[in-house]
Amino acid sequence: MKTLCLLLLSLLLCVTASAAVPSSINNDDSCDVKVGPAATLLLPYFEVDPNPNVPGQTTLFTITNVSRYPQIAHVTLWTDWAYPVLTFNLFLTGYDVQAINLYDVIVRGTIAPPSGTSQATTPGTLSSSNKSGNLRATLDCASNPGLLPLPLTWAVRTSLTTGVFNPGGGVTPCSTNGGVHANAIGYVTIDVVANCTNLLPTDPAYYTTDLLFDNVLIGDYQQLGGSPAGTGAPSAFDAAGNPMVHIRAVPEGGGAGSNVATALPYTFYDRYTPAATRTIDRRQPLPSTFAARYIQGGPTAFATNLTIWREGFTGSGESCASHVNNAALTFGEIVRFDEHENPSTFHAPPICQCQPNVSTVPIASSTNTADSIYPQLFGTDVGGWLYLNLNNGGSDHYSITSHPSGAITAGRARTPFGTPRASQNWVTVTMFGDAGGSRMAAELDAAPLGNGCSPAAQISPASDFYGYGMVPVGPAGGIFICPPGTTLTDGTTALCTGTNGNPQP
Amino acid sequence: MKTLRLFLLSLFLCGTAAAAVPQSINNDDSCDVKVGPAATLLLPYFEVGTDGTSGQTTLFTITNVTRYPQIAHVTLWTDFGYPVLTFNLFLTGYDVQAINLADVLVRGVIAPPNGTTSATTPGALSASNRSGNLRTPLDCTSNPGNLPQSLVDIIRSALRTGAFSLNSCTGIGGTHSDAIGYATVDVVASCTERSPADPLYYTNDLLFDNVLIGDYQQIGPHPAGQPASTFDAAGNPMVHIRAVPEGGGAGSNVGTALPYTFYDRYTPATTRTIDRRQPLPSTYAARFIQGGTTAFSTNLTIWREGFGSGSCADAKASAPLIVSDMVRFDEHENPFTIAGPLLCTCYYPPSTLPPTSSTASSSSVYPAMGSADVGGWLYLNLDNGGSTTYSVTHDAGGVPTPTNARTSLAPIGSTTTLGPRPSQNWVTVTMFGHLGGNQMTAEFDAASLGNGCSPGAALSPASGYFTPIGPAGGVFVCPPGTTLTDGTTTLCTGTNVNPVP
Repeated sequence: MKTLCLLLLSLLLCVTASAAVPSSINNDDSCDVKVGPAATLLLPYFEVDPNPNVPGQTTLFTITNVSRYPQIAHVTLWTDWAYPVLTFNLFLTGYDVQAINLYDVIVRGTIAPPSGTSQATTPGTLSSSNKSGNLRATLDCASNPGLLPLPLTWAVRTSLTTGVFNPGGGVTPCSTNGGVHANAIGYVTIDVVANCTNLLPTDPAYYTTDLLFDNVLIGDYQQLGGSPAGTGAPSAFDAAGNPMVHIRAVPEGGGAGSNVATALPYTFYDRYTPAATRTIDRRQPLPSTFAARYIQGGPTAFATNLTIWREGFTGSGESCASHVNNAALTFGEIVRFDEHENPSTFHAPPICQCQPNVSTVPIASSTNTADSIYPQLFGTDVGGWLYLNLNNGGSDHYSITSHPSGAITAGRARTPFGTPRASQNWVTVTMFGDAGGSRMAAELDAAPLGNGCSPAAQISPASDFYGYGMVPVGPAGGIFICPPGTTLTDGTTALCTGTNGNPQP
Repeated sequence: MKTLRLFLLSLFLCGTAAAAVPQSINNDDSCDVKVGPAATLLLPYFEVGTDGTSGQTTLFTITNVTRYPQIAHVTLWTDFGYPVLTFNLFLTGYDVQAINLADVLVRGVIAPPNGTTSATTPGALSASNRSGNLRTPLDCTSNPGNLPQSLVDIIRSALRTGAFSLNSCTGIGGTHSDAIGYATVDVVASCTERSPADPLYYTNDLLFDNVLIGDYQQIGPHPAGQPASTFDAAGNPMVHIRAVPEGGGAGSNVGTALPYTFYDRYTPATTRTIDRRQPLPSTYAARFIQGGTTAFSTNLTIWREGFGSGSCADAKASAPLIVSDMVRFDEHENPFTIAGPLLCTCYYPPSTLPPTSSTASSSSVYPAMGSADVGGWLYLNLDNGGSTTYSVTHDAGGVPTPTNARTSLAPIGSTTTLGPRPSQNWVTVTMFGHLGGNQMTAEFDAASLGNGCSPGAALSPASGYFTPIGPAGGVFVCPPGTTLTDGTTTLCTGTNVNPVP
C-alpha cells in the first residue's frame, strides 16, 4: 500500500510539475504559427490575370532556404476548390533564394526562368555540397522542368479559370474542380521533400516516401495589381505583400518516411495522410477563429478584402465530382463590430439582418467586406472588426488522435475539438484607400483568436437565435485567467473562468 | 528498496514522457511571437512628417477582442529608447481605436475629437465599463483628448532633435526632419501616468491579460534616404507580445518559465520577470531587392533593445548599438560581409544602429552587394553584445540575476560578450518598386531564426568562425530512433531544445 501511495504521489508530482511550468521555451515547440523556418509554406491565395498580351495582376512568391544544406521545395498549385493541378520541384542549394512569378508559370509556362532549378547549380561558398544533407542518395533533380509543355500550361490555366482540367496524355479529365472567374485563382503549398517527386499531397504515398520534416524554409508573397474585390480593374497599379503561412513540423526532423509521434492533436495534411498514420506529416494545424479589422467607405474610398484559405472536405482519392463539396463552405459564425462596438449579425438581435446565415466561400477566396456574405455595416462608421468563426462544421474525412494511445478518431464523432474537430483556416486583410489620386494598399495577417490545437469555438451570444450561444466572442479559452494564488485587480475571482490549457485529444 | 526503485522509476517515466511529448499544445504557451491576442503591442518604428505638408504619418489601431473594458497604456519613445509621452486609451468591450500619430505629434489630439473615456457607452455585447480587471474606483474620465501645444512642441522636438526640455535631456534621440521613434502599448489596470521605465509601473499598473491586437500603416513611406515620388502606404501587424502565463491582477508576481522578459531592464531589481512578457529574438533572415529596371529598393526597419533602465544617459549610450554579424547572400548564394572578402581576418568596425531605425538595404550599414544580382537575403545577428543591465532567471532557485556571468543563453563563443543573454530585436522588410509610374510598396515581418528563449548565436563562418548560419539550434534535428533519408545520423547535430538558464 505504501508503495502504491508513493507511486501515485510521484505521478501526481509529475502532473503538478507540468502544470507549474506551463510554457515550452524551446524553438518550434508550439501550436502557434509564427514567421520562422518551417517545413511547409502555404500561399493562401493567388490571383493571376491570364491575358497573354498585357501582364497585369499577378502573384509573386519567394522561397528561401535558410540552411547551408540543399533542400527540395515541392510546389503544388491547387484550384480554389482544392484540386491539385500542377506540381513541380525547386532545387535550392544551401542559402538559396528562389522567386516564382505565377504569371510565368500559368501564362508563359515557365518555372524559374530561364531554365528552372537543378542540382547542377554551383552552390555558394558557405553552402554545403548539393549531394549532402537529407536528400535521397540518388538524386533525380537534374531534369526539373524550366519550361512546361504548352498543352499542360493551357490545361492548368483553364482549370484555374473555369474548373475544367483536361491536359490529355492519359490524365483523367475533371470538369468540376474549381470556380469560374476571369483570373486564375487558387492557392499553393510548398513542402520540403527528399527527392524531386511527382507525387501530390493528395497521395498517401507522398507522406511515406517523399515528405521531410526539417524546418528550413521561409517565404513571402506579393500580390501585384490587387483591387477591392468586386470593383473591377484597379484605378492605379499597386502591390501588397505578406509572409506566407509558415507551418512547422513538430517535432522536427528525421528522414523521408519517418513516422514519429507528435503531440499535435491533428495535422495540416490530416485528410490526405495514410489511414493508419494520420499525423505522419507532423505539420502544425491552423486555427479556426480570427479577428479581422476592416475599413470601408468614407471620403478616401476605403475598402477591405478578406482573403481566406479554408480546409475542404475532399480526402485522398476523392472523385473529381466530389470537389463541388469544396465550392461552398459555410461559416460557423460572423459578427461585425463597428467603431462603436455595435454588433451586427445575420440572424440575431441586437442589430439583425434577420435572415439565415447562408454565407459560403470556397477554399480560397478574396472577398470585399462590403459583400453580402458578411453582416452589414449599419450606421455611418467606416471601420471596425469582424469576428470570424470559420469552422465549416467538420467532416467525415477529418481525424484527431486519441490520448494516450494515439489511436485515431475520425468521422463525425464528437470530441472536445468538434466533430471530430474544427476545420483549419487562414485569413489575411488587405486594406485599400485613395489619397490625392494615389492608391494605397496594405496587407497583413488577421489575428487568430487561438491556435490549431484549440477546441472548436461555440456559437456566441451575438448569434443566439436558438438560445444556445453562451460563450462570448473572445480569445480561445475565454478570459479572465487567474494563475494559482492570484485574483483580479479588485481582489475577486468570480470572473476567473478562462483557461489557456487545451485538452489532450 | 523496492519502493524506492518504483518511485525513481515513476519519476524517470515522468521525465521520459515529458521528453517524448516535447511541445505544449496550449494557447499562449510558447516563446514564439505570433499574431494573436497579447498583453503588449510593440509598434517598432514610427515616422511622422511634422511640417504638415508631406503627409507622411504612422497610423496604428488597437482592438480589444474581449467583452470586458481594457485600458491600453501607450508610450512613445525616441529612436534612442527614451520615453517622452504616455497616454491611456479606454477601450470598452470589443472596442477598436485608431491613432494617427500626426494627430498626436502635430495637432496635439489623441483619439479625436475628445479622447477616450470610461463614460463611453459600451456596445450591446460588451460588459459594463465597471467590470473586468480594472482598478476601482476608475480614474479614466479625464483622459486627455487635447494636449497643451507647449507639450506637443516639446515632444516633437525630442523626437526630431533628441532634446527633451522637460527633463533637461539632450542626446536622447537622433536628429532628423521627421519625428521618429517607437511605441509600446500595454494593458493596464488604471489610467496611470507612469512610463514603463518606472519600476512602480510593474507593481501597480501592468496587467497580464492577452486581450489586445493591433496593426499599423505607414502612410507615405519611401526608400530610406530618398523622397517619396508618389503617395503610397504599407501595413503590418504590430508585434504581439503575450504574457506567459496569462492573468492575475495588477501587481501579481507569478512565476514564469520565460528565461527573461521583454521589459527586463526596467522591472524592479528583485522581481525582474514580473512583467511576464515574451522576450524577442536576436537573429533574423530578411529578404531584399534593390536596383534593377523597376528601381527596386528595400528598407529594413529594425527595433533593438537598448542599454540601461531608461535614464537620459542610458538613451545616449544606446544610440550606437553594434550589430554582431551580418551576411548578405545574393541570388546565387554568394555571401558578402562588412569586412569584405569572405574569411578576411582584417578588422572592420561593426555596423551600429540605434534602438529603432529604417535603413535602405543598399546603405553602408549592411555588407555591400558584390554582384549584379538585384535580390537575395540578409542574415542578421542583431545581438548588441549584451549588457550587465540585462538579467536571466536561474533554474535552480528561480532567482533573477543581473550578472556578467556567462549563462546557457550566452555561451562561450556566442556574440554576447557582456551580461547573461543576447539582446532583443524585431525586423520588418519594406520593398519598393516602380511600374508604369506607379509606386508599389509591400511590408512584412522578417523571419526570426529562433525565438527569444534561444541562446545567443555564435559568429558565423562568414566572419571567420564555425557555427553555420541557420535556424537556432542548427540542422539537422533527428528525433530519437530516426535517421536522415540516407540512413545516417552524422549530420544529426541540431536541437530545438533551449537550455533553461
